[in-house]
Amino acid sequence: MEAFKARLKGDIVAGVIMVSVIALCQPLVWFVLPENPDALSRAFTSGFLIGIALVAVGIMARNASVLKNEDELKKLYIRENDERTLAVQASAAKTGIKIVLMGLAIAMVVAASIHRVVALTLLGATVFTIAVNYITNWIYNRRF
Amino acid sequence: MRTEIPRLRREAKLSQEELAQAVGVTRQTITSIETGKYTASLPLAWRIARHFGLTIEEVFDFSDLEDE
Repeated sequence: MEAFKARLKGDIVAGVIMVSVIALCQPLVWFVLPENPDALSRAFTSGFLIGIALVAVGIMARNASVLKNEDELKKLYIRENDERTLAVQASAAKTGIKIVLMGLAIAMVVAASIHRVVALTLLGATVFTIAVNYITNWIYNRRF
Repeated sequence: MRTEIPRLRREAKLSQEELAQAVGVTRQTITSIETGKYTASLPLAWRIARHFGLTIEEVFDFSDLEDE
């Protein structure tokens, strides 16, 4: 349980760093990024970053609250380490990656006859997803 | 895999939630083990058996594995 408490505290520190970096990025987004009519608006980039910051703040608030209450801490520990939940997540991830790869491959083939840049971007995303899948498989094969 | 957990819980007047908390899993995990949808890991099977003061073989029925 002490290791779990340390992890929750570590998550709070990581959250503070992330929110600070996002806050520092806001002036860059609005005043430094060059105007580009082909790009998505600055408001989109800014809002996306603020969304990530809000999620981080939510996790930090939950962790801070749970760290003050032993019962809630135990409940969260059980929820996050429950073996069936982990097995469900592993199965969902395995199926999910297959569906994502199929979707990317189909989208790439369709995009190839429409727009070269979009098709190449989708090709890059497909190759990246396959590479990440193989690398994580290799890492976990060595671990277990 | 069949299990004696429901009977053992009834005898001990223990709810699924109470057993789940005692062995460090969620209530849904105990439900899934009892209904045979999920097979407990060896450490969890050991914790459940130890909770009732029994051996793993006394709590879980492995006879279906013998046919494989």
